[in-house]
Amino acid sequence: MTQVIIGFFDSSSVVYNRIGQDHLEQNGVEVIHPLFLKKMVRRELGYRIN
Amino acid sequence: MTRFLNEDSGKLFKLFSGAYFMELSNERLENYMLRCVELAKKTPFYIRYPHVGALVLSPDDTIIGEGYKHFIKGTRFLVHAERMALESVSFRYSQTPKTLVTTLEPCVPPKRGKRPLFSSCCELILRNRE
Repeated sequence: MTQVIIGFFDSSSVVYNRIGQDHLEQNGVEVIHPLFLKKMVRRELGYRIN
Repeated sequence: MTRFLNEDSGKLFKLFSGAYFMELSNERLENYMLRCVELAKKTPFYIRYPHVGALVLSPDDTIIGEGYKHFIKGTRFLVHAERMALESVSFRYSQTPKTLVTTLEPCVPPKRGKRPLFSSCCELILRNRE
C-alpha cells in the first residue's frame, strides 16, 4: 500500500487525525484528500463533524 | 506529505511515491469514490454509524478488492471496510504497490481502554505495504 485516498476527514478533531496521518506518512504512505469530493461523501453517508 | 486536491487543480494530477507512478483523472477518482459510497450503503442497517466503504486499486488502475463495514457471521465482532477490502485482494497482488480509497479516514490504535480484537486499520495498511 503506497497511497491512501480519503474521501472525508474531520478537520475539527486535529489531534485525532494527525496521529493516523503522521503514522502513515512517516512510514512512506502518501495520504491524499480530494477536497472536491468531501461534500459529496458527507452528503451521501451523513458523516458528522465532532 | 499530505496532498489536498481541489476541483480546479487541473484535469490530471500526478501522484509520486518512490518508484511507483500513477495518473488518475478527477472523473475517475469521483467514480471510485461513488463506488465506495455504494459499498458503504451495503452496510447492514443494525450496524451503527458511520458506514464506510473501501476499495483497493492495482497499479494498472483496476479494482482488485472491495469492502464495507460488517459483523463476522454469527458474532458481534465488527470488521472495518479497509480490512475487508485488503483481505479480499488476491495473493498475486501481494508484492505490487496498491492504492486504497476509503470514504472515511482509517482508524488508529487506541491509546488506552479496551483493546480491540483486530489491529487498527493504520497498522493493517502499513503491514500491507509492498
